[in-house]
Amino acid sequence: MEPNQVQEQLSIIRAMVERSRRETAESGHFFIWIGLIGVVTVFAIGGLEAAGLYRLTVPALAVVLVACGVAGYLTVARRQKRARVRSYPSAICYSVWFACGVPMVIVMFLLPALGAYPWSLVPVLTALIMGIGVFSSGVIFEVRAISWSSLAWWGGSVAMALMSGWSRGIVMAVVLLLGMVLPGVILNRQYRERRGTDES
Amino acid sequence: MSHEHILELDPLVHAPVRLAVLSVLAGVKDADFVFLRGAIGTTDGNLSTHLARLEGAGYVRVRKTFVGKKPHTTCAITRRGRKAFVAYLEQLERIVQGQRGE
Repeated sequence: MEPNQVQEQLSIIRAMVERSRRETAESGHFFIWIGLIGVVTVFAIGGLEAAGLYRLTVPALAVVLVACGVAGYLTVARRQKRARVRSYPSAICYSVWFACGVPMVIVMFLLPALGAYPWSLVPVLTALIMGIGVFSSGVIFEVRAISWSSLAWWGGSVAMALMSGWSRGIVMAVVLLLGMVLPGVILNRQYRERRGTDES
Repeated sequence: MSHEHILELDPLVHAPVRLAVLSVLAGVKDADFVFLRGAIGTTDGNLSTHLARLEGAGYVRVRKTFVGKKPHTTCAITRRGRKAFVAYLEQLERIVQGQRGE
């Protein structure tokens, strides 16, 4: 086998590996959308509280976030099914978020309804679980900054446990921006860089 | 140049189209036929022929389903295929090292 033939084989391998790597880059849209919907929900809940509709706030939050989670998962699952190429990191990441979503539904809705703890503890516990999802996503996509974003969730959980009322809502909004939207932006930048390499 | 090394190259993997297919599939969970065709830059018939050979050897798994009414063909590398691909890469590396030594 001549040296140039070896180089040709290696070039094929290199080109194909790079092509599939670019195609399977995670866009981060899931994180950005869920984060922004979360922030809007927080302000909507704040509006309900300001209107004196306290009884509706936590159940409304649970319903909205569960609906977001279900819609997001269905959208993601549908995208995965139709995707031209499916990567192991994306498949694992979506499974991680499903695994976080189920306990979040239980923590946010079922357990408080059963009287396990007061509704006011829901955001505190939810933030802990969200931190797990974000940390794991950072490890899966090998982006350390995303794993570090989980500290926003865990620190935010502690902060919310020490606060009450509107200040807790503000903490949650900040945590959503730092712990969900920001990771999405980081992933999206990486995604554009990889795609940009393809176009250049 | 060591001819033994060259003769040890798996002929199933060595063909450019099949090598390209395995290179793509080695890094992903699965890929559909349309993506493989576009990435490799070959025709439907040519790709089908090579996929059939790889499937016959147990190197890839081809699954045909429908998305709505459209046929959808998905390919994934098998454990056997991954071993063969890795062995091919190692063999290629030995050839390169042998060439550097000369």
